[in-house]
Amino acid sequence: MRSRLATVALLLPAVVLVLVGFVYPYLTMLVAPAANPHPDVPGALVNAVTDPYVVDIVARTVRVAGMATVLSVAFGFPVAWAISRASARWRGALLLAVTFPLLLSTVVRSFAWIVLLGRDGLLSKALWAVGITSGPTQLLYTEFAMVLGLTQLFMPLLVLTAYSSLAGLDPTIEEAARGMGARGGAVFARVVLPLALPGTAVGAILVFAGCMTAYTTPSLLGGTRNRTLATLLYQEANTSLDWSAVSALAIIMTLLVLLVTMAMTRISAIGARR
Amino acid sequence: MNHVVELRGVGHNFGAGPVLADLDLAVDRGEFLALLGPSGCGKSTTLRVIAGYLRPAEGQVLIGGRDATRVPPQRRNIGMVFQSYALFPHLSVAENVAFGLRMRKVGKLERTRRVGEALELVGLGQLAARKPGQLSGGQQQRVALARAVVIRPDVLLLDEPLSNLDARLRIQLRSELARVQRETGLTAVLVTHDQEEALALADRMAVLRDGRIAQQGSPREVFERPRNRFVAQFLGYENVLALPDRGEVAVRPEHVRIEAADAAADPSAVSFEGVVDELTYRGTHTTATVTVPLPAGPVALRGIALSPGALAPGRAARVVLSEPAIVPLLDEPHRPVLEENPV
Amino acid sequence: MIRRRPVLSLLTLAAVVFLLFPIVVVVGVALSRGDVLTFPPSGLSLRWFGEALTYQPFTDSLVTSAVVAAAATVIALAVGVPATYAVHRRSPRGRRLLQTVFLSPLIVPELVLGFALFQLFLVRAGFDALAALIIGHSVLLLPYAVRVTGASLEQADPALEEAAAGLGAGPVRTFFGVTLPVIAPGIVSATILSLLTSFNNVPMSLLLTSRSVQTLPVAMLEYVQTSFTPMIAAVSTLLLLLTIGVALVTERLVGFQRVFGRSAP
Repeated sequence: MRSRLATVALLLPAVVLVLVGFVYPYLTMLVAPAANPHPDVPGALVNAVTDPYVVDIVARTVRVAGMATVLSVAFGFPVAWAISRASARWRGALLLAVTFPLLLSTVVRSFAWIVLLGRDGLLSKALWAVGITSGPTQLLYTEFAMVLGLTQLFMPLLVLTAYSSLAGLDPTIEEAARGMGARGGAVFARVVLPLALPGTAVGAILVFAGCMTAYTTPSLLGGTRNRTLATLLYQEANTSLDWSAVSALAIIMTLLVLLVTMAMTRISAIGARR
Repeated sequence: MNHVVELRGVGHNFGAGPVLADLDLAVDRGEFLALLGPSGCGKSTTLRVIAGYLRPAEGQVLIGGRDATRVPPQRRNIGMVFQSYALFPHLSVAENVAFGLRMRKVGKLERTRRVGEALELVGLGQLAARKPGQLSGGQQQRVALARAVVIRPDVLLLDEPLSNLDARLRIQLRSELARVQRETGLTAVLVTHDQEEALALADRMAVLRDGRIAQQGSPREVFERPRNRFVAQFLGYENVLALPDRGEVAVRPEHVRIEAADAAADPSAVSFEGVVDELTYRGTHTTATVTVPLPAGPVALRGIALSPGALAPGRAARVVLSEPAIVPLLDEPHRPVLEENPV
Repeated sequence: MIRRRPVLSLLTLAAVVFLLFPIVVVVGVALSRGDVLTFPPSGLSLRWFGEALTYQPFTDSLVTSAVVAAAATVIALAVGVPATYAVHRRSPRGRRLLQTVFLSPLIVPELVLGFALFQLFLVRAGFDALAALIIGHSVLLLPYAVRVTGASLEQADPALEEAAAGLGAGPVRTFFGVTLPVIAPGIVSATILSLLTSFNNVPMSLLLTSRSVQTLPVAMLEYVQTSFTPMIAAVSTLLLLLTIGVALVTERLVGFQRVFGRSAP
């Protein structure tokens, strides 16, 4: 009896924190945000979903997140593979190089792009010098800039999850495959890739979800003309007094992330089974 | 009543079924009891019940004559040695050993003295300042022993203490364990799956099966006179068969001779004719398994083939049981029995 | 490796440059003499560091961030460690459900959680932004505290606590004398991870501001969107140095990979 009571006492504060700081605020947001005397969240949801402006923004959010994810995987997976096959000395240094940026805030990490992508930035000058463009170009405040920024932000995440997966592979499996006559490329495609896929897929899902909910990078690099769900939500929360409408946006963002995560999980599970 | 530890009618269930069933056990002062049995038989569970880590669903636990069933482990005076040693990694060897004395509020001077004595007892005097991480497996085990012994417990509980050591170390530490128990005069209960260990260390031995005691007695009694099929087979009596007019008996393979079918027969010995299944070379000898047709059905018997050249799989052979080595399983029902209608 | 697979090595090098080059840019801009954001900088000077260190919005928000990070970390650990202990050592019913509950704040986008807290605590209940920040960050850090110390507990031998009990230690004595020291590296890891995560947080802290309360990353964000001087780069560089310091301390105490190795989402 006393033991049961003690267990409850140990668990209670944490449960209270989650209820007070997470569940309750969330519930009020869904039902009656900001003590709105006439909340109409469902109505606002319908409005938002049928509003072409919002739909356009959602499309951009998914588009940009998708491209950043594809780039992260396309470049991140080979890097993870290289690290997993590197000597111990290189491996440590490379992992450190990839992990360290994750310790910095997103503002610090995205700031450099503002300098590099502006009209007088390095990239503009380089393109001009090489002849691809005929004068200074503004690369900032474009979807291109956002994709670049997000890829840089989230690629380490993918490299690390893919690396975890690859590092966990039993090297004797590859030796066995080679012993049975498979050449390098075939070993990679038929043995390594399928085994590392589940872990990498998890990484890709994390990257996608992260890109869709990111605020700093789209805000700094996309500007007001290229809003994403996150930047729209922030703007509305700050300026609009229609709390139900803001709640609706928040709900859309949450559902979108949940849906995409579940869909990707389902797809990767099917792929893994094959 | 000289019982230091007593279990009366102890029973407990773990989800799927009973893990201890109506267990009665008693350990006398200064006695070394070994609990032996296959994995899952409940021997570790029994130890944990004595220690207090498990409160049994039924029955009583008495320690030092007093009912300890509801008493938590920290208020029982037990000294337990774990299979994983469970040494506190952040404390030095001396601090580990002193832990129980600290909990008992023993003064610093006496504490230091007793810790020193305990470490000397297990032969680790010079390692007092080291941390467990810096010790070998054998050394860690000795520290665990010292830690349990220094508090002068009512009973010393050992949960497969030597299982994590390699064969050579195990034998070495086994005699250390025996010596320590003798010198301290402590009552000890050892759980092991290793027969040799139980036979070597114990004053008394109990073989457990499915939460009950299948047989208990001195090692010699139990080993030389198993009373049922389970105990016999667990102790290596591979040949269990029903002899006409004698009921179930068990014979060790070492006491069974496999000869060629045409060898001279010994009329005073019990022998059977059968067909050889296989021959296995064992270095010092060769064993043979022979299937013998008996009234109750064919039985495979294993014994030593003295002239392996004369035998071959598929060929006839004779199985000879040495009479003094035939052990009647007294607790097994006598067969054949008149078919009676179940009541 | 470089000799054997030139293409892969080149790709890896390119990726590392891609990831780390921005740091070089930031430091370079921070050392600019002029007022314009260019890289490479025209002329070198330390003036912007001086300006950054005396710019009140930055210094005030630095204090706020530090206070929030410290308070939230303490709360998350004080609340999370006993809970983890209960889940791993006392086998309560519904163990898996509890694990999910404690890790649940991770599923929701931080910005959404920030808004939920904003509309409840700031708009409706009129709390001080600082209080809302501390509550929000505590909730954010709880999953980290639970997961990291949980891993530590799982690795520790449960027999240790039984041994302590058998030797006469009551539950409290056992927890503080045996369990806590054994999971100390896990607690240190959780502390460092929590402090850093809270300090760097942007999305949740965005809306939880008031006239006098703002975290540093939010202040920096505001500055970048309105002013275009290298001062922001100077602040970033100072933070960079601080982070390097933290990384070194982490390596010293429990090992860098142990804390940051498995990427926490």
